[in-house]
Amino acid sequence: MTRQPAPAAAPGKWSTRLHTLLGWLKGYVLIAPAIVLLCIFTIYPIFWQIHSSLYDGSLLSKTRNFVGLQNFRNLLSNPDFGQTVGNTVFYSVGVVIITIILSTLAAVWLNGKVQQRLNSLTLAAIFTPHIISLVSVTTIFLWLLDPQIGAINYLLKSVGLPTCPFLASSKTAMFALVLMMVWKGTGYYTLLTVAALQGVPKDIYEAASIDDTPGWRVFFQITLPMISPTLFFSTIVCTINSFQVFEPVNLMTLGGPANSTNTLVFQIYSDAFKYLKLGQASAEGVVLLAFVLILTIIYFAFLGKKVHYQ
Amino acid sequence: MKKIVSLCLALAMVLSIGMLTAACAEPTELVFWTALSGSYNDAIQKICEDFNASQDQWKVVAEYQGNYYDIAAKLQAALLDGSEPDIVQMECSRTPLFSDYGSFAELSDMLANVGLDAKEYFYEGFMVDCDWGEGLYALPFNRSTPMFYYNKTLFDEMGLSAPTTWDELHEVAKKVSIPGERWGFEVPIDQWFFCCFVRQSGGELMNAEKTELTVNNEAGAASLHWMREMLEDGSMKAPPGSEYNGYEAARSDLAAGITTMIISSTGDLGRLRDMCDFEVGTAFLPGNPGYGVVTGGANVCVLAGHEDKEAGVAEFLKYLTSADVAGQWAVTTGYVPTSESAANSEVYQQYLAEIPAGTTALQQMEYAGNQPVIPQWAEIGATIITPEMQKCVEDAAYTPEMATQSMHDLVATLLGTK
Repeated sequence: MTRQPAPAAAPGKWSTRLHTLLGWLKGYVLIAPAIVLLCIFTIYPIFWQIHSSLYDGSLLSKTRNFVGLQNFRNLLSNPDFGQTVGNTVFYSVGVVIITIILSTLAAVWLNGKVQQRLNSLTLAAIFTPHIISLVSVTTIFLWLLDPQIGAINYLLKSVGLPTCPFLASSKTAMFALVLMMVWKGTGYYTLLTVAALQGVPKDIYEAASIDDTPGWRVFFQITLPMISPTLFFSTIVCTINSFQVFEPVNLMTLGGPANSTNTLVFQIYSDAFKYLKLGQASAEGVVLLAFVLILTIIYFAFLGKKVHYQ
Repeated sequence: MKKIVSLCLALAMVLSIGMLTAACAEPTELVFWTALSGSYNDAIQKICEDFNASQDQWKVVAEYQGNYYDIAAKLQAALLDGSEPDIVQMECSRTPLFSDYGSFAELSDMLANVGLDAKEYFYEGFMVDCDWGEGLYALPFNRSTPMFYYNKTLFDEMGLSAPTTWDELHEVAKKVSIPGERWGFEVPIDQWFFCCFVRQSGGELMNAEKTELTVNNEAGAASLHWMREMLEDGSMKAPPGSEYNGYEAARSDLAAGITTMIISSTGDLGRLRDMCDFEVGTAFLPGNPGYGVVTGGANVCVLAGHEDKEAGVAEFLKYLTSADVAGQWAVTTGYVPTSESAANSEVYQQYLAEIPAGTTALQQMEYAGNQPVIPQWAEIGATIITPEMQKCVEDAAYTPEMATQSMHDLVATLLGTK
């Protein structure tokens, strides 16, 4: 909304004053619904959670005792929590890097001039995983990834490659989850990037082709900077989503084997709802909040400067 | 005068309509949350239907809510917004957790009203986690112990018999294993079985004060050594998965002939008899050298603050645990009968006579003990014992001694006794 500085109205010109006031009020009224919802469902819960992280007990307790930073101290002294944070970081870094690189490459390729009909068909095909419900995806991947009867191991075996235990081993389980989520997410980010590519003015490319610029320079010095706002957006959204990963863990591995796929949000859910430890879960929530906040600030402070806005 | 008469008539009419509606009033609904799916859920539904048909005051509605983990999470959420059921099936180690918060009602008075004396009626072994000295907060419903299952048809063909010790099991497993095709033995890497293994090796899970997990010793590490040896020579398979996925994998592997011996709950006998196209044999869990199991399964608990429905709840609990109903339930599922009356019921005795595999469950109760009754036990099992076992059987560098010491230390941190 635009807030105009109230002009020093001459006394007596009530209509002008009223008009200014209404204009000023209109802005606030228009953003009110969004702000109210944001306050109720985001701002208030954040403060409630920080408050709750300083208390013991559960949602069922009639009174909860103040324990100070004890919940955070418990987290620090528990090696499993360190592993959970490590898992979450591994998952996020894996998903973000692979997804963004793959989707950018796919987008540049699909935006090419040759065989446009085939390209749009391919785009539709790689976008499809995004619209399939995650529950169905996990069910299918549980079959595909089965170490004994799964199709992927069958294929590996039939071409003479060694098989992989996937979700059955703590060494490969997280990797399998990353692969599945990359498969599911790439299409969405490809679509975003293709849209960005189509917004790049053609005359820049024409100028480059007149100068006989090599393809890799066109890509790194024209295409990438021109779509950087979209890539920036994709990276931030993908990072935040990855840090909040819950469904595939809950549906496929339940944090196992041996805690190897336990992530922050799954840990929060387990502590709060399975083991009735709300204070502990709130403290974990605060840690998650801090992680996402710091990452976003870093992105804006460093990566943001490299983004080229037209 | 006319006015008064008509007024009286009108009043009489209203009253009679009121009484009429009271007489044909719908029976009061009692909501019963359950944690068993498939044919076991059908059996529960049948029990409720029969109870509803037997009287017209109460109507029990059984609702399946997911496994033991899910039902605890849902119960907590429901307690917050007041949508909790009247009766809930709660895994036995989670009962103290909720009653600690005052969520469950004390049952002795309401059961006395219907003439049920729980202490007298049920097997003593099942009462330890229903009444742990603070009052009666649960009644045993589908109670079980782990049991040893094997492919009896194959064993008869090969002239083998069910092993009685860990070493025998290892020998038999080596004989029936075919590399890459068939594994002799399979057991879910799960805390419940670890508890049994410790007991078989002559150890105790916790000290008497319940402040320390006493598994950082030979008895604690023995089973991990044993499983690692068997996994290494390919005579054992460790099914993947957490919570109850591993159990499911072991059952389907036995049915598919991928494995020949598994350890699972007695409550799986019903399922396995349906799934397998060969004869399923049962035996005691092999000893090291002593036999030993710990009980598990679930109890039924009543939610506090539902006094208006207490009479109906008590009626239903009495029906649910009565000899014939509980006997039939044990026959359908394989769960251990919860009372001597149920075990002596005609239907259960007939089952024992017809199905030899069914006899093991009750006989093994002689060697049964309990999981420690503390509110944190469910969490200790799922977040400390099971993951440490998994790490140990998977990672050769992580020795059984390291795993059991780590279990001990993590529990001390969790209980705040370190």
